[in-house]
Amino acid sequence: MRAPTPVLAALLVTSVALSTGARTEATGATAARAADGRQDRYRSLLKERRALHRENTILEIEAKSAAAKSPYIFLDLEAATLEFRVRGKVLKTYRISSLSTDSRGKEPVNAEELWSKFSGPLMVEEVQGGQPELVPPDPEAGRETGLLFSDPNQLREETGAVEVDTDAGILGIEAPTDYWIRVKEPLMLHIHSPKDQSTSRQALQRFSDVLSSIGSAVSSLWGGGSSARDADVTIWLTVEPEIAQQLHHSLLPGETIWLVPPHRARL
Amino acid sequence: MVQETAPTPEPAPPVGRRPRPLADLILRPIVLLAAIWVLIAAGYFALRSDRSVAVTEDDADALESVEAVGDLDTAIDKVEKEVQQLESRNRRLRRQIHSFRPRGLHLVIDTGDNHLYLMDGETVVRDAIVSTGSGVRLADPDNPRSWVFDTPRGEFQVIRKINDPVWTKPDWAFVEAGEGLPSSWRERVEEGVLGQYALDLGDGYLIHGTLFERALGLHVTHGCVRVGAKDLEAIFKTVAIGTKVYII
Repeated sequence: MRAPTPVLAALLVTSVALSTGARTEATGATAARAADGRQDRYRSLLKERRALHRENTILEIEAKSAAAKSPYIFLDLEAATLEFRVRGKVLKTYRISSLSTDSRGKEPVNAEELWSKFSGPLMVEEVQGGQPELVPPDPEAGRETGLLFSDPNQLREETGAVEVDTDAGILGIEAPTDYWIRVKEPLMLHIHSPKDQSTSRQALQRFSDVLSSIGSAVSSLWGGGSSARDADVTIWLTVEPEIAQQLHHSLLPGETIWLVPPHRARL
Repeated sequence: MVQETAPTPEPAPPVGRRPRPLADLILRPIVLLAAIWVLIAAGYFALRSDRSVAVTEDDADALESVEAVGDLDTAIDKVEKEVQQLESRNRRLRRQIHSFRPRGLHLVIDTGDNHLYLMDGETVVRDAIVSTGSGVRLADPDNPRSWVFDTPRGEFQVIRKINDPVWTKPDWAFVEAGEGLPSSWRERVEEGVLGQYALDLGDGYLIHGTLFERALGLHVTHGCVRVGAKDLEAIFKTVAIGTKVYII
């Protein structure tokens, strides 16, 4: 087999060039080691700068929020925690079992992407099932029985009951374990609990998802522009039922949630 | 005698030299040589890259290779200065936040699980089960107004300590009960329903006792914080006017 002369020549030239380069490097091994040390230093400085930049971003949010008397909430998508803070102090932390962008928990959240979209404060506008209406009793009914709704002592005397829980709201409000939190920004937080993941509930959720996608498709066929709701990003937070209920009681409209910048976020 | 002669082997059929296609003749050596060249070059560049690429981490910093920054010493100086500035900023922010933090004796009320903590610095001195706001909304059927029975959140302070508090029933108490508003102030006064002590947080919100101790731990109040008699007494006797109260 004879190689064409030009190709051989090219190979020869390349090899000579490479071997020359290699020889030069061998002689400069000491210098290279010194360069390696400087490069390691440079590398560690970059890491340090990056870590400090992120930490300072968090501290700046904290400093701004802590200057006011209102509480604020840090949602850390990486650590999967929801922290309630006042005046720069963490007063309670809820652990989130899992975070996803779909109801079935199949799509994990992309913390960097969410941070890039929602790096500002998220103002809670509405918590589903919050502020249920209290219907006062009919005053006429009280007159008929001769009993006043708000006077347990009178009722006890009249009825002979040991203790009467007629005080409005005495039984407490049973908070839901599956609900959404709507914020002013185009983002929705959906809190749900493992106990809500029964087969029938999952089927219902899938059916709802299918209906929603059909609705969107029909809307787009008719040339209708997408509504504000279509643009929403929904984060599904799976928590223990007890935590879901406590969270429902803890969050009020007007409160502020901050996403904690993830480690790889572009700040 | 006939000498047997070895049979002459049949001449092998002439091997016909199959004419090689021109492409085969040229391409084979080229491909072979190219492969060798690529191997050598790859080895060489792998060796070089081990030393010359400053940052190989899969993050934004990787963009700042030595080639990109030019002189490494200058780049190190530049980043060192930036790190120093960031550290300085970091210390300032931490000091600023620290100045806001609760310190000394203070109360923390968790409306999520209905607990009140008497704190001394970071230490929990007493943990009491309480009742907090129900969160229900009540609309006045006769007037365009409504109330939401939430315990307010944030930082407050004890502005008054009251022994044997008396409840002056606000309008919502009558609306809630389906009663008409009283014509005189005296009809609003109710004694003994707020327990033995009360801590006034302002805006009509109190930390007080209750007749319904078995409802402690539930979200049942109209915004006030109800505490059991024993805990209330201990807390009342410990805190002073001006004590900070943090409600979350």
